[in-house]
Amino acid sequence: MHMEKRELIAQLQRKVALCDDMTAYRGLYDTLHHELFLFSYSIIKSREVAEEIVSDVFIKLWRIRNELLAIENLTVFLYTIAKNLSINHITRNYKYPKVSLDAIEVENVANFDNGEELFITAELAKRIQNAIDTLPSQCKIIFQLVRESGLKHKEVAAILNISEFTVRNQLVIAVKKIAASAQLSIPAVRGKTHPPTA
Amino acid sequence: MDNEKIWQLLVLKLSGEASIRELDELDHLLQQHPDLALHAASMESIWKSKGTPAPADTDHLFNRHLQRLSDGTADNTPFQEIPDLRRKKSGTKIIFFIAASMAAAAIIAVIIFNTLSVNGGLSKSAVPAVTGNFVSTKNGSKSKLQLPDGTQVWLNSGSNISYENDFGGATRQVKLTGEAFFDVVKDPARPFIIHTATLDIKVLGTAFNVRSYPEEKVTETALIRGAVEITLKASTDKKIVLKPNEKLVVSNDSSWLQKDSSRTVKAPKKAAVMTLTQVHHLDKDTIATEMLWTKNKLVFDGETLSEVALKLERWYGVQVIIKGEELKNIEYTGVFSDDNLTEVLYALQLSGNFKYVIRRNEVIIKP
Repeated sequence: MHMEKRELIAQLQRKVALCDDMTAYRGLYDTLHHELFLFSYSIIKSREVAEEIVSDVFIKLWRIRNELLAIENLTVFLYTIAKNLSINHITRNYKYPKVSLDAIEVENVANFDNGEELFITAELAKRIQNAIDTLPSQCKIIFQLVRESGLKHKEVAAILNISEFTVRNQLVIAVKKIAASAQLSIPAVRGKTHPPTA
Repeated sequence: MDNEKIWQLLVLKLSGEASIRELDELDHLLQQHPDLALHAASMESIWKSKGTPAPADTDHLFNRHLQRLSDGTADNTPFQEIPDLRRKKSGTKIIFFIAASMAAAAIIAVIIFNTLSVNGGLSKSAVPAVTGNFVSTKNGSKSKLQLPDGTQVWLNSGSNISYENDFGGATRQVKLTGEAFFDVVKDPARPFIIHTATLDIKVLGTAFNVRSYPEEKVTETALIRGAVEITLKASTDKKIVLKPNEKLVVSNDSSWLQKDSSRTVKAPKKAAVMTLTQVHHLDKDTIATEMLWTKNKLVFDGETLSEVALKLERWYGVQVIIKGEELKNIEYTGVFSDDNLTEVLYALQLSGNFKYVIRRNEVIIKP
């Protein structure tokens, strides 16, 4: 997430909190609803329900708008609500006694379509997607939050209630796997299978 | 072990969390491991090949969201899933907010006010219902909106404003019930017209306050800057031009102007049928009394207890019942900036001769 976006979110947050500003509220919705939707969708795997959950997240945001100044990181706050609502939904509808993200099969929402460089061919994209599909749930979620949504390790750690150390280690696992899947189809790499220098 | 370090540094680089020292270290390590350098380079391209663009047109989604917001179909469970991410209170941050701007200082009162009123046990269902181009505020809530032309509108409690889809075409027209403060964007080619039940206001670019609640006896227009032209619904040939700091008060009972009515003025005794006065400035306040509500200040400017009760009902979203006719015409003046209902009633009660009881959403005032 760029600094500009963080700054924008902080400004809108202040306007909503101080002036009940509907235009700023709409701005927050436009800025964050899609990534929250993808996040929720990857857990819920239903577009309709994910959309409702994002709407519920923003309803809660509006209801507590006058207390928003007390929230240090609105992005983390909204993601955490989205996570809790998504897990609640699964617990309620599938009668899981107690669910952690790790126990839920997480849908891959990462996207690698590349229009400009044509570096990523359809075949390569498929390989990468397959590699991501085989990642453990938590690892997949972490990868998506950092790459797709541009969140900081610290933010992901706060949302998922894990340590920054875990976030980094899980990313290493994801990146290694993706790099390995890509290796075979990259012309420059093809045929070069040096053993790692010790 | 070097390999593991390279992956870790690569992850930090891709996530945008690597320090300059770590970036240097990564470059250095990759020079020693050209095989991994290729991996790293392809991984960077993959990482950066961002897809999943957010939908450009969110109107449809947002409107559906607003529908759920206003009709309360959403999950209404209490906020146990809301994490506690409260800012730790630190002096520097508070000082920053105060120093940030005058506006911020004035608005800090908003939060205090709202928090206090929650503590007071009052309902605070403050969701502006929006359907198409209709914005309304319930009692106990206020809203600020921006019209398509950039005009800013502060909407006071228990009010609504609407405009057609072609707003911003040849003219800019809105309908208002209740009270609003307008800061109109200048555009001489397209006059801005506000329709109220009693009168129409035509403006070319100005800031002013309109107060036109159906349950009140008069419609007030207070001009802060610029110029407005007012046409009375009851006699469209009469046009009144206001200059800055002038205020026009017109009786909502227009029978006095209708052709078939006799010459006797039927307007209520207390309010003259039409009065041109000056915008008020209470002591200490540099801004006009009429627009203090936009700064979240509750103002009584020589108002009778009946009028005070109406204002309290809208401001706090409560019902106020006055038992005792003799109390209704006692006048009160005061400005409350960040007080909850109990504090306001307590202060009023000190100067008057009444007692009050607050029961849930009901206030009973009696001798």
